[in-house]
Amino acid sequence: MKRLLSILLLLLATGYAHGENVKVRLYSANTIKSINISVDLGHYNLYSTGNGTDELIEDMIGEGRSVILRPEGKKIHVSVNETDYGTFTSVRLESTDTACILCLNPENCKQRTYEGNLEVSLLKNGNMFLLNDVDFETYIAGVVQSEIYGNQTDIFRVQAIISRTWALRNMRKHASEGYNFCDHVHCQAYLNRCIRPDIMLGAIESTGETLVDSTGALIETPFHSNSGGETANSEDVWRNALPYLRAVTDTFSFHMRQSDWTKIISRDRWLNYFSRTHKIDIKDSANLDTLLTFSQEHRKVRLLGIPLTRIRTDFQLKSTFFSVTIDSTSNSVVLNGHGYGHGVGLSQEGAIRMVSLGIPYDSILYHYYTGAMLHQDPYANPAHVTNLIDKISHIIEEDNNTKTQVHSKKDDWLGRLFRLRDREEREEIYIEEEQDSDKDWEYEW
Amino acid sequence: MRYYIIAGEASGDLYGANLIKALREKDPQAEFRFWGGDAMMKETGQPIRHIRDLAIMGFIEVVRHLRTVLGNISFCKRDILGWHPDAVIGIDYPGFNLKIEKWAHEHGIKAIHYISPQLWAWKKGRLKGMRKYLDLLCYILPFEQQFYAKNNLPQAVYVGHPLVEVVSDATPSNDSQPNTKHLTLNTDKPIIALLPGSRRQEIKNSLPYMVRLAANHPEYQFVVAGMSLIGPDFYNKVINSSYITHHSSLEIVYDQTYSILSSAYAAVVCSGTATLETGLFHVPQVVCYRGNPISIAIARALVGSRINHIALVDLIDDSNVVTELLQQDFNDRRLEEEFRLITTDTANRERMLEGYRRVEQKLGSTGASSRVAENIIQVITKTQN
Repeated sequence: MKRLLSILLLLLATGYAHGENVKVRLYSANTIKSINISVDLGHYNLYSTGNGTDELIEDMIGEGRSVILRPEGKKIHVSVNETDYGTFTSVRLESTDTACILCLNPENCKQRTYEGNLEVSLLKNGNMFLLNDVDFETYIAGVVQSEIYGNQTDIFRVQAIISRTWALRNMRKHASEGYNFCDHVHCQAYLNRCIRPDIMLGAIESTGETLVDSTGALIETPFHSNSGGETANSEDVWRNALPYLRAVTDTFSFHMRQSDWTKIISRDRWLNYFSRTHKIDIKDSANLDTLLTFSQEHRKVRLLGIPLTRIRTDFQLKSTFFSVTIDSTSNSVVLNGHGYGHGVGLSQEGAIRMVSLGIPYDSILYHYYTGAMLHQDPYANPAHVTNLIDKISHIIEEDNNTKTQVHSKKDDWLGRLFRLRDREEREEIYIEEEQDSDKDWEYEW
Repeated sequence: MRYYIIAGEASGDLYGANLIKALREKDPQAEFRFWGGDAMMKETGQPIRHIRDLAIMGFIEVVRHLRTVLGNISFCKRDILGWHPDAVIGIDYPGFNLKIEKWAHEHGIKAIHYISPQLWAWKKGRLKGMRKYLDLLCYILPFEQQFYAKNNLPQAVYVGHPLVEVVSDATPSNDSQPNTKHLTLNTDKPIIALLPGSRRQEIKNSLPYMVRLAANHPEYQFVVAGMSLIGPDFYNKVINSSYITHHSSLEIVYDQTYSILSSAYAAVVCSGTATLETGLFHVPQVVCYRGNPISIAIARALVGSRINHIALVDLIDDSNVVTELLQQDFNDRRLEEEFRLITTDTANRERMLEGYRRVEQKLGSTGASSRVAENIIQVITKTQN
């Protein structure tokens, strides 16, 4: 029984030694006027939280029931399955079990599902402010799912390590606003709970793993979609030169989805931009020639003294790693570029390719973060992790054997994991009862 | 007769070995003293200087090693004076050999140069000295005939390319040759030959790109044609510092270039004689070269627009038989693109193989070494008579 309880606890705190939940602001890039929240799995209690003490509004809201929240004056109007409960300053939906899922349907926004608790209050402008109070590792698994694609567990492990390292280093990024992270790329994308068992597996396998420098301090772990064949030095994009964020050759990023791009801009717009915005004399033939024939075999930092990062922002380019050619027929300049993103740190598509080539996940990390070291948290509990890994592996194997995509909520891996738990629990009770009856029998005898 | 032969590079060593054989056939009493490598050693004992200590290419590299070069020249002169040869035969290696040959001529020794320097490309000013001091010049490229006819060098003789006989001897059908033994690689994958050059500088400049290419293509077995005289330590150091070498699809095989080429599906070749060898083995290739930028800039300034190609196969056919990636064009991206073309584009492979057939026709038959030997003996005996 103890072992099973440990597994359950682990599901919420999969080896995260620090053992605390994090608060993540949801729909941070959207305006939420009202929201319909339904329970997909487990049971939730609904509390009013505005007056210093929590007051229960409704308990054991189970699967299929909906909570509708909308602003009314400066408060939130609450109704559960069309029954009005009044208005409150803020409310909290608190899970009563370890496997609880909420489905959020905000007005004019895409539906998402999350595990853990949900806190809802109003911003000064009357819009809703949603916080997911969730276990750290569950959050990391959601980030991994939002941030990377792929179908091999090791790529999720790589992403989990760098996302965990980043999160631990930036835990107080939004502390002044009352939460840890936003769900947008400003922090790390967290656009849903993790619904894929293979992603969860990768995240759990990396339990307790972070990247540190030679002093043992957590490092910055920036990443981007595709380096285009060469990563960038940190100081070429941002202010600081960090020893582990060095430019490295990255041929693994060739021939991937985001390896190359082309953008056509009218010649006039291109030249006027430099002339008007940056006061470059485009009548000077040397300047003109540079602007129309600029090329990068290796990444450069500036074009005629102007940071390429600025040019990238102003023209909304996928990367700063581009060369310029002239298309005289259309009086345009053609920017032939490589990669997608800032180029510093890990190239996600490069890492995907490396995993497909069988390169170990630690070698991948060392390739992109020069001189960094993998650190294993000594407080992470490997026995529990192994147990959970076994169970999720079993679920993945089942999926592979049935060869059908699991879509229904009933068949969600989390639900199945808990049915598996229930079954084990029943078996264990049965064995205990049997042993008890044996003892009774022995005693009687 | 006494023949003092100087070969400064691996290819010269190979041609030197064949020349020794040919001279011995025509002059059974022949005595040899030589600068060369393992191939010549197999024919006739120990060299005075081994080629592993001699290979330098490019202006900057020569300047860096100037003291060694000058030391070798004065040592060579003393050695020749002490041995009294009938002829000094310099094979290629013009920076060194032409100086020695001039000196030999001035000291009454027949001065013979085998494999003409590329005067049609650059350093045409050497013609005057060669006309004056050489008793025999044996050139090997068919298009050079026109150049020497035009520039009045009567002692210049076209002998054909020695590689034709070398490669012909090494074809798998001829099992008597040591080079024909097949590679013992435990793989079913198509083999990609990597020929990073014969000089340390070349290897250092080209092998890292080849390693990175290999890292991305586990579907092929990449084999580096290594040279034992360079040594495994050097290759391993360059490879290990290049990239992630995570899979077993990259191997170094030493001193079996022809075995590798005879088994290869495609090749990446550092420009030089190897491009022609690869062509004669009918292996589609990407030719690449990255040298010291200053050396290249000087070379470009000297050559101007006189030549359009660097790879020998292209020069011989005067067309783009192979793709040449030079200097900044020799980068990971271009190499990857061109590699895909020679491995997956059947039409491109066929077009290249057709080009190789044209090159073979232009090079003609085997027997270059025999013709060189014949001419050397003729020049010596003519004077003696």
